[in-house]
Amino acid sequence: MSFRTRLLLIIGTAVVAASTAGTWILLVTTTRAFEQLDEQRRAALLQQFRRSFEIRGEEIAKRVRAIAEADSSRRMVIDMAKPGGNAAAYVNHAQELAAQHSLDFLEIVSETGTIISSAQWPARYGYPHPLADRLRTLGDEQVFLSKQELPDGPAIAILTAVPVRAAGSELHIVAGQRLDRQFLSALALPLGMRLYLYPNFQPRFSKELMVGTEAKPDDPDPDRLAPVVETVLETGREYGTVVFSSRDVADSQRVQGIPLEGLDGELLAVVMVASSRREITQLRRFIGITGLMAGIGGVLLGLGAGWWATQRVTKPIQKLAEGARRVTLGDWDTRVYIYSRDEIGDLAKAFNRMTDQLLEQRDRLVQAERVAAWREVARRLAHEIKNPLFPLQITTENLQRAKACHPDQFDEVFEESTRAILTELNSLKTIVSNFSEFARMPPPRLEPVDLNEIVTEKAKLFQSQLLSRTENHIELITELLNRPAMVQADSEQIGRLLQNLLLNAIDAMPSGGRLTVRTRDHEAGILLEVEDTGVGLTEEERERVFTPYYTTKQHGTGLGLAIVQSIISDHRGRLSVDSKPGQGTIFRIWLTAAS
Amino acid sequence: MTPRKGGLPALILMAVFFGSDLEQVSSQLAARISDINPRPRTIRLEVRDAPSPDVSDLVRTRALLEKEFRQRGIELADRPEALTVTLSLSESLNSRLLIAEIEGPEFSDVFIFPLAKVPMASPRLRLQESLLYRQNAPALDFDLQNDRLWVLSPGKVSRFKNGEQGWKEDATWSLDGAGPLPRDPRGRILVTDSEFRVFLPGFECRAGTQAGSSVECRADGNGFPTDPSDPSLGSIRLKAGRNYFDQAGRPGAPAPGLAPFSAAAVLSSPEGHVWAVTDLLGTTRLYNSAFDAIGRLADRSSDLVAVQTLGCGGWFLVLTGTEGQQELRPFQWNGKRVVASSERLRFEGIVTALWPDREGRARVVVRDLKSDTYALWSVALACAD
Amino acid sequence: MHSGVWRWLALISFTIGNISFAAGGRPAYGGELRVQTSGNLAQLHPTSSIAMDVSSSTGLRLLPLVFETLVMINDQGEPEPLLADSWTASADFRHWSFSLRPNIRFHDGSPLDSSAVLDCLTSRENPFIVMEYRGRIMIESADPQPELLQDLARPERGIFKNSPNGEAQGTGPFRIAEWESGRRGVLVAFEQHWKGRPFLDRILLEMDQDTRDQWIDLEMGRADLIEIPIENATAAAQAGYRLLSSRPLELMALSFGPAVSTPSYAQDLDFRRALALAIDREAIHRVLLQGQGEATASLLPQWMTGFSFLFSDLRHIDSHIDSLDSPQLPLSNEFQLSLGYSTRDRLAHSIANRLALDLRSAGIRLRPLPLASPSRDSYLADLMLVRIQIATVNQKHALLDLASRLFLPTPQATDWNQPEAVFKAERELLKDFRVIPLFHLSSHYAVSKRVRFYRPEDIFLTNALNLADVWVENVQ
Repeated sequence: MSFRTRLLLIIGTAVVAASTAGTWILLVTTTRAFEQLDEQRRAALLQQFRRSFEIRGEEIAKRVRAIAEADSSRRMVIDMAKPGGNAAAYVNHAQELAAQHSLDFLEIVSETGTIISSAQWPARYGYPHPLADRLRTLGDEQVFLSKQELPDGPAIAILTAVPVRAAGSELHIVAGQRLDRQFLSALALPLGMRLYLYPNFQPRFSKELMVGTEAKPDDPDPDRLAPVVETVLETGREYGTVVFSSRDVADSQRVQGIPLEGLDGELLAVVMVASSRREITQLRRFIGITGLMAGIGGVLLGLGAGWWATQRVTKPIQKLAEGARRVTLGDWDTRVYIYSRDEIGDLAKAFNRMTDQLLEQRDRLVQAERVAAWREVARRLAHEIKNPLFPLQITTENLQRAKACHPDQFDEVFEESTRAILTELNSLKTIVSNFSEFARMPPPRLEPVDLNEIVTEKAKLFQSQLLSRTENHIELITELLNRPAMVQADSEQIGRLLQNLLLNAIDAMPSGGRLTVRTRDHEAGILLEVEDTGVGLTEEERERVFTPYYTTKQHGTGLGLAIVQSIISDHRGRLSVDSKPGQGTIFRIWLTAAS
Repeated sequence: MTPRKGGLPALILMAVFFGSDLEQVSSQLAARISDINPRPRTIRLEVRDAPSPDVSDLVRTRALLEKEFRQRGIELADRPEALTVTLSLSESLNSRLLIAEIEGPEFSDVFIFPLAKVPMASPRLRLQESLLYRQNAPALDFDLQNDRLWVLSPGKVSRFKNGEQGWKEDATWSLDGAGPLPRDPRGRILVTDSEFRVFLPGFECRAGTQAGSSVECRADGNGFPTDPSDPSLGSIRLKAGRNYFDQAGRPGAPAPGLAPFSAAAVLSSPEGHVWAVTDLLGTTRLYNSAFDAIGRLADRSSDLVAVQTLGCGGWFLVLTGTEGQQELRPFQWNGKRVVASSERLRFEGIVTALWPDREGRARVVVRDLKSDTYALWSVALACAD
Repeated sequence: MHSGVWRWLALISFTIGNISFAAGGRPAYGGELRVQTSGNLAQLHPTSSIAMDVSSSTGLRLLPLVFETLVMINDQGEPEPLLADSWTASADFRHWSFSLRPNIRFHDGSPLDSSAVLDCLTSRENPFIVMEYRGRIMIESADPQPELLQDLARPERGIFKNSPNGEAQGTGPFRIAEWESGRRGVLVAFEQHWKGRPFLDRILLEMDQDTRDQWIDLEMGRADLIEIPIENATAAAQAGYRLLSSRPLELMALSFGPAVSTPSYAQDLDFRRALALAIDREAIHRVLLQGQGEATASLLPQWMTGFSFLFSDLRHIDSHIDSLDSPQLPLSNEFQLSLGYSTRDRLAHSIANRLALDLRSAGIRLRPLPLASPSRDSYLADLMLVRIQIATVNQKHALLDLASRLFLPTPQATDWNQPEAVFKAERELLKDFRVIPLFHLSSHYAVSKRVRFYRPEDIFLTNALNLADVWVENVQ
């Protein structure tokens, strides 16, 4: 992974993390703020509901009080208190009063607690009123809830009991409204708020009993309100939760169940105040989406900026890296042009200094090497030349002597000495020609050539020579790529190179062996291997093998491998030697493939 | 009603309905009870006073039955193994019924015996009223004597003479000496040839019948004469300061055990006197001369008076109804039970006074609410066949 | 009508007061009497009395004004001459002979003679043969007919004659001038009535009027004679209205119907007995009926038989009842019954609801079921609350009639003239508790101020309104 990518990744991650964190915090805090708002609004709604309920109760109480204070009611008391007073005449009175005052329930109860007249159950006259023993202790203004038995089933009523007193006698009017859908609908409620009433008539929850203000399509199924109802009934306290009417979260309601208690604290019903969470859910969603969009946008933006930033940041580094690579490839004359004032700039400066130094050093080294090489060459030359020179000298001296001392032997001596002199002069000529050849090596003419062809050609050449040996056979094997091993090379020089290597290998196997030449693919190039099963090289020998005039051979100039090295160097290839004494030697050469 | 010429079947029906009387029936009942299998050894007799209020007949029946049972050797006692016989008297459309509910450990049944029904309107009665006078001032009573109309009003007595334009007042007497009257006062005036007597609550006043004669009033707690034609019946005494009576009968021998009453009247019958007393609640009970209760009227009444007929005996006229519409209805005690007549006399207004006069007629003072005048009526009961 | 409205109206009528019926003037001829009824009569004809619905009783009470019978039954239950002025019967009641009152005419002017009577009597099926002989009507039968007079006094025995145009002519003081079936009828005075022309010129009958509307019409002066439902009678009397009231001659009872079908427990005598024991009549009588009428456990009323009160102790009906308090039902079961009644009957509605409430404590759930056409739809209900007019004051006929209407077996008495036998016959009918009598109800009418008559008991006879003796004031 490149530095740029890593940097990009780091920046990207940082940006993403920051963006996400930022969005999330934003979401949470905004949502919380809205929820608080919603909570406040709901509390206000609940308060409004309670107040509305109270107001309705007061209104009912007022109506009933009006009935009790009316003259007709007093007259009724007096009429019944008279000797011979007949309560039976009033058996239908409650119905009239109830109809006049729009009350669902109205019962007239005598002093002894019997019902004189009942609007909701006319047949109930004469029966004791269920609340008879409470009537005296109830406060005048007290509005209470009660479960009323009716011919067609129970109902919850909001009632008040008002005494009517006259002529030393009294009776009570117990009246009120039914707590049903109509009652709920009449409560002044804001939009979006719904009420449900569950009367506690059966021991187990039964959804048929549930009453709502109005039926709407997105009303939750009464069964879903069951947990609220059951909890309130069990604990006797308020309980709030969220109820979902469908899979869509927006279809949820915040439901607060409030227990409604009767006079003795018995749980008569549960009223549920439901406020739709649609708004807040949608708001949340909106915030969420927006946040997400912002986050993503931020991320993208961040990434983009990051990328641009990394570009800017890594470019000099890349330059540096590029420069360094060039240097490793040999181009030591590299300068990195970065002028920032930061560490990168410093680095660039240092780099440039380094390359300058390298160059200097290289020049020096080259110079030194050149000097060393010249010294070496000179030494070698001197050595080489010296060799033949001595015999030359000797011979010439022989001649002189012969002429001087032994004129008769002079002709023989002259013959031998001139032969020896000419041999040595040939040797000197060879040395000189080798040197000149070495010195005269031209730059290679690079072009795509098929290495396989060169190998095959040289192998053919040597094969005939090898086959003519009578003893100490050397087997020559070629293992070549089955496709053209195209390399960018000078075919002639490569040929010479190969030739030298082969010669070397043959020389290394005086008692015979195997000689293998291979071409293989290798990365971006072709690998040429020359392997022999000869005497091998020691470590020291291996290191010095390419030094000109280093030779292990008894004959030869020792220049062969130096030439190989030179050629490879010109080809910008690589060369390596692997060898172990007694196990043979492999020469490996990498050459760039032809594009 | 047109005379019936129904023929035999009707007669047979009537014979059945108008059958046995109490003795016969008691005997039949006793015989049937003794014939019950197993024969009862002990009987407990009970009496139910509903539906008919004729207690006396029930009492008689019970006595007769007890005699019968004893004759047949059946013991009368209250023991667990006794057969309970509950008697009641009732009345169907056509006859009276003696009903015996028999309840025993092994026997339970009902025996019903028809009794003769006293036909209701056997004498044809008619009430005849005549209006004598109308005045604005309240009138407590009046009397007719020697072609003069004497009217007792609170505080005075006026005498009228009949002329072409009706009654004209020709004399008045003031009754200052009679003290303050209670509200809703009652009073009586009885006029003879020489003097008139006025009875007021706590006072009695007399004066001569000539105009200008002086009035003497004295405190007198004796009350009003019960029957002006029979002084031996004593008087009915008003409670002081009240408008009801608390005593009836001869002074010194008042009727025992009589609760305060609003009206009382007396008739004589073969068995003695029959008193009719209306109590303050409006129930009229009948008593014999020993003041044993012998009967009771079903209707509520507020006042009553006794009148005499020619040929149909004496009847009580009972005032029923409320203000605005009151009516007089004749009742009689026929020796065994109360007999009612369907005859009615209606008055519109309030009857403020209802008294008998000496000739067996009734004096009625009616206050007309619309005109607030007081009308004086004389009512007679005529008997026609 | 709600008693409150009654009291409100009472305030209006308070000042009006009442005028003595007889004081002052003599009867005046002329004028029109406007009568209203809630029932509807398809036609006024002797045969229409057969299917008697309680609400049509007013219309039927007018029948004798048009069609007179040979014999009438007075308020004591005794036969009196009417069109026949005398009769004789053989000892075995198989031969009867009637002489007709002379100088009686039909409405078309033709005389009433024995042949007309013969035609009329033979126009229906009889258990006897009718013949005429020398102007007399002879009735012969194979079986003794001791109650022939009762039979001949029934409204459906009204003597009529079909005129050429098909209309029925009677002999009564009024004749039918117009009749709109179920809506309106006009009766016009018959000048040649044998008792004299009636005082009124016309009687206008408006049918199918709700009792509340009748009320208002009386108040507004648009009606002269209206029906007062029994539950409003006390309030009407207290409000000062002039009332004509009858004796209790209507039976209100619970009837299990011809065949006790479903549910099965209602077929159990114990269940019916328990139901009968659980009924509290007193509270209904005191409040819903306002004390009018009588609570009863017998079929025939007390004033008729004298022994009705015995049935109130249910032990006289069923000796198995050892105490009035013992519940005879296993209370663990809940029994359900539907109780049918006529939707038009407000009293039945109130009573049905009260019964339902009372029987709850006995473990019986009674479900009131209003029916639009109770006679047709009675099979829909397990139990019916019925009101039946008692047809006649004759105990035997009344009991026979009730038994047949209530799907009870024909009552048998050893001797119908003996009260004890009648009692036992009635007891026999009640012992199964197939019918549980509740009340005997009286009928009431209110009359306007302009209506005059001598005595109300002359006008409102048992099952007849004698409007021939009524006159109106302020006749133009």
